[in-house]
Amino acid sequence: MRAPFQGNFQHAGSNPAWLDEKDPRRADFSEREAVLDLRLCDFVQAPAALWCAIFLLLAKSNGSECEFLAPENAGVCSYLKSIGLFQILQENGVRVDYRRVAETQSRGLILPITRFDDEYQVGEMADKALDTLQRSGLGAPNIYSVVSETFGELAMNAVQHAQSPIGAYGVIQFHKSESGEERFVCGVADAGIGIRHSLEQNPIHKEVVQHDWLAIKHALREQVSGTGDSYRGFGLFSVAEDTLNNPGQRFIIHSGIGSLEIAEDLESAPWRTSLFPGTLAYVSIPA
Amino acid sequence: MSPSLRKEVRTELNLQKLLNKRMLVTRQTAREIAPEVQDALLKGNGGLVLDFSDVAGISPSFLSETILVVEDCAQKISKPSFRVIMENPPTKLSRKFVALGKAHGVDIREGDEKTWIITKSGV
Repeated sequence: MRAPFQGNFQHAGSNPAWLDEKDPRRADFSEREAVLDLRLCDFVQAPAALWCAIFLLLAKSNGSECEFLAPENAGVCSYLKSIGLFQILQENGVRVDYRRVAETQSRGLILPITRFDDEYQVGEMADKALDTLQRSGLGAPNIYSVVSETFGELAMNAVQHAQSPIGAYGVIQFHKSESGEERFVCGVADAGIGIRHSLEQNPIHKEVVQHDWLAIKHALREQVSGTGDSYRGFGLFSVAEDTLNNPGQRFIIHSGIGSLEIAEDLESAPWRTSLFPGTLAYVSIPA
Repeated sequence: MSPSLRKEVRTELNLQKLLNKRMLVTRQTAREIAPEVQDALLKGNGGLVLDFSDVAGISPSFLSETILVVEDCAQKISKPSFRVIMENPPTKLSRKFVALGKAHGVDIREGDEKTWIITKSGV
């Protein structure tokens, strides 16, 4: 299979429908080769980069020959290299075809795309992110612990519930838009069972979570967890709660074929969307 | 912390020094302090001060596991009720932490300006 992308590649929710049939988590995924062709992209956002990583690493782990064709736009190519996407892919045997771009150190990069598998690594990353944020001098200093805590909570959710065969991946970066708006963005993605299947492990949720999009909405409530422990189920709830109370913050979850967005005082209706083979949680915090 | 609150407890643990971390976000991190918590609860007769000086942030996961650790340690020394004073918490007491306390069957409220008090009444 070869999946071409062009223009502004924001996230997997805008993927073509035929890609939904190519879920590398499934036992019947039998693509001899998997190629993501981003040569015509002139913008690639962090959630899209995380999807590329998850998709190709999953496909690779299932025996496909995998290749990533990087954007021809030198700036975009340089950005993807700087956030560590190429390195993660190459280290795992994915061929990356990119034009030679100058090695740039992105000033806004707080944590490059990093694999993690356990709580110890989550704790280390949260502490490291705080150090980097404080050294960076970017944004308001009183936001640094909020960024690090938010990332830590999303990462904890992935290691505790995802059951991802290829681990989870996180990234934190500072972004300044053309209009001058400054934000920290935290993204965590995994290739796991997804929120719906995680909650289905607890019989009391089974009736409520018949679709991915309904499961996401349900998971944002307090004490909702697949574990059955009454004191669990505060991770996504707390990030949602902070988002609802923090002006300008946005929280997007994409799990399986469901998605939902939360902003200040506003929780969208969950919707059906294109497949993310696992779960992506993405928080954008005004800097 | 007010003198009256401090008078009730006798033992204090500085978490940043104990754990050498400024972001306390994982359950595993909370479990690392279990021996010290048990010792402190025993000496404090069911009372304990957790000092969060120099800690930059805590997550609900960390606080949840800390409550479980305290509860477990309190049971081991036959103290069904306990009172934990969190000094210098890095953040305000928001709804997410209060809700977490309810799920654990404990009361979490702000004491004076830089204090949270976690209380579990005896059953």
